[in-house]
Amino acid sequence: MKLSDLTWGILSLALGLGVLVVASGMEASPYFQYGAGFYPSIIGTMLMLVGLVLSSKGVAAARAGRAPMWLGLCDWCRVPGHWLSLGLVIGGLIAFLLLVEPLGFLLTGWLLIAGLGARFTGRPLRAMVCAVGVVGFLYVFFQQVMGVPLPQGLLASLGGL
Amino acid sequence: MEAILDAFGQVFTFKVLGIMAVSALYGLMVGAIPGLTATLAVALMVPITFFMDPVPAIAAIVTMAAMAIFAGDLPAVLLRMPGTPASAAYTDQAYRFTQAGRGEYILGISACTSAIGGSIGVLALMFGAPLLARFALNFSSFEYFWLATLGLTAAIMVGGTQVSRSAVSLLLGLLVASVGIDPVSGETRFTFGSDALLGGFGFIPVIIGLFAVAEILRFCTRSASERELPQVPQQPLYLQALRDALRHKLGILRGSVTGTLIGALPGAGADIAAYIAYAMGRRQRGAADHPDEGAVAQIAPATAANNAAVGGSFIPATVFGIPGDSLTAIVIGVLLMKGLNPGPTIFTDNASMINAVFLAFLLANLMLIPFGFLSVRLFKQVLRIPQGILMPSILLFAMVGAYAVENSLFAVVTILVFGVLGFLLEENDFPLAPMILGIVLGPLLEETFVTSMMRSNGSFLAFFERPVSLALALITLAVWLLPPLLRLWREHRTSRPAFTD
Repeated sequence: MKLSDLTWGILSLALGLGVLVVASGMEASPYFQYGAGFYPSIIGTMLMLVGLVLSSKGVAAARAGRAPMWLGLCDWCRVPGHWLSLGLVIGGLIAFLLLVEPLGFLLTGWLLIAGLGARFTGRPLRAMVCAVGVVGFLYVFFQQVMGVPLPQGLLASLGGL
Repeated sequence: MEAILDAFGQVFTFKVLGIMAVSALYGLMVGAIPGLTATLAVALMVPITFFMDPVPAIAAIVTMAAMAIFAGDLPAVLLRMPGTPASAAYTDQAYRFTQAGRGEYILGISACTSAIGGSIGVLALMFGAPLLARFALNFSSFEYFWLATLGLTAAIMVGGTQVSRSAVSLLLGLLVASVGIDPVSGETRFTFGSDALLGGFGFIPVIIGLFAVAEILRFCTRSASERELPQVPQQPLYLQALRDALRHKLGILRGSVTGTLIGALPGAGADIAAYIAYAMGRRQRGAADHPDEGAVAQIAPATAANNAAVGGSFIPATVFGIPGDSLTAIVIGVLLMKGLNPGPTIFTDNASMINAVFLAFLLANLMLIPFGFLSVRLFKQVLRIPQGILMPSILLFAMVGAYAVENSLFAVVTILVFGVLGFLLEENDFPLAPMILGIVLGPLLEETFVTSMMRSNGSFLAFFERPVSLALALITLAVWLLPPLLRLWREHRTSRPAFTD
């Protein structure tokens, strides 16, 4: 997805302004000349300046017909399957966050790899088998070798893996 | 001297050598997978080093750093997909050898020149850095402020893309670094009431998000045909190349010295070194009788230069804590994590440990020759792993790695946020390196700037009063002002004839 320079410029301006507003709300402690908001407000100002430069470039490019005004579609954007894959990866990450504590690492991790693997390879059975190996390896490596306590979830009640 | 002997004792143990061998193999394997960069390999490795003692941890990371540039050559030469930007300079020319079935020859040359260039860079680091550190002991916050500014300036001015885009990336990095506790007053900011943000964004989840998750999102946007890789059978020419490489002694030496010097400039890294050494080689190539020989004469200095630059870029990184590129920035992050604070006093306070790091670095460069051979063999096997399974596995590895370090699910949220951000930025031609440098240098920049302002009672003149700080200020301003002035001058010159028409 290609946002135009004008869009990026406006985003930078808005972010810079937001930083300035939040920074101006920070009070300087009486022991210091400069408060916690001093340095961020410089960054905010610079973000706004760069935002202005980008916006003016974007407007100039759009006027000259070299670029779209707000948003351009790239080659891959036209393929719905790519959007689905992107959505599945991001959705998979969010689902992992929500499910890992109730279901445990082994099951959630397996679901993530088997699901995405099936989507990417088009061979669900192979993805499911490979996922067992990968999740098993990560579990042994992090939980047993590195001593990181991974969420156990459901499986804890089934015998405390 | 005592420190160096002590360092030998720390490095030459079974544990450290074993860890170095494993990380070398791992680095070469990840580097060999097209689309996965060596920086990503290092980023994924960082959570594991979190659980190690300082010397093995840093040895593992510097081994990876030394392998990284060579690893980038593997897909560059064999598939025409540079694994790191540092291989991009000669990718096209090297790929022509692969099309003729002689790819292994170039890889042999590259392993040999990389080992020599890398070793020269590390030797310069071992002997040059302490000298520079002695000089830097007198530096105050004013000099450090200018050094940090110079490093960041160079990162955005020489990035190769538009300055405004690099600047946005850099400012985002500085902003991310300012979340959490203000280093000067100790007050919290930008946490929006969240306890998870009190300590700021974790460095490790951020880099894992920016490199690993963003790469997987990019993978989603490639169609199945783009994921398939072309293969030409290759002749076993690696060993012959090792012997032939020494014919280009002068070129390798020139490339190594150029690489070390460019790497040592704050803000410049291996990619710029490779481009310059490659361009310098072009002048010499006319002298060769055979076109292949000429091409090798041009590639050899460039492969030496990018590895030498890694050693060179560790000079400002260890003496001032100013990294030259994202790879060195990650190494600095690990040094800090292990309690080795970069700065001129590192050579007196932690002499044996920093020498152990340098020694491991030197050893890692020498390991390139045998491991390079192994990796060329391994490469063909690695290509067989279906990417459709590999990418989800890397995703889970990234998530568990980030979770393991922070021990909280917030780390997984962080890698998601920064993964999407990194993907969007790269899709829109914003370089990520300035952002990483911003994240690493942000606290130093703020601390030196605010304390300098306090010392001078808010007067900017004090920033130019000390001689070294004045010199650094002038260099920084020159880096800012020279390119636009040169451009104006050039435009002026080219527009004049058109005007008289």
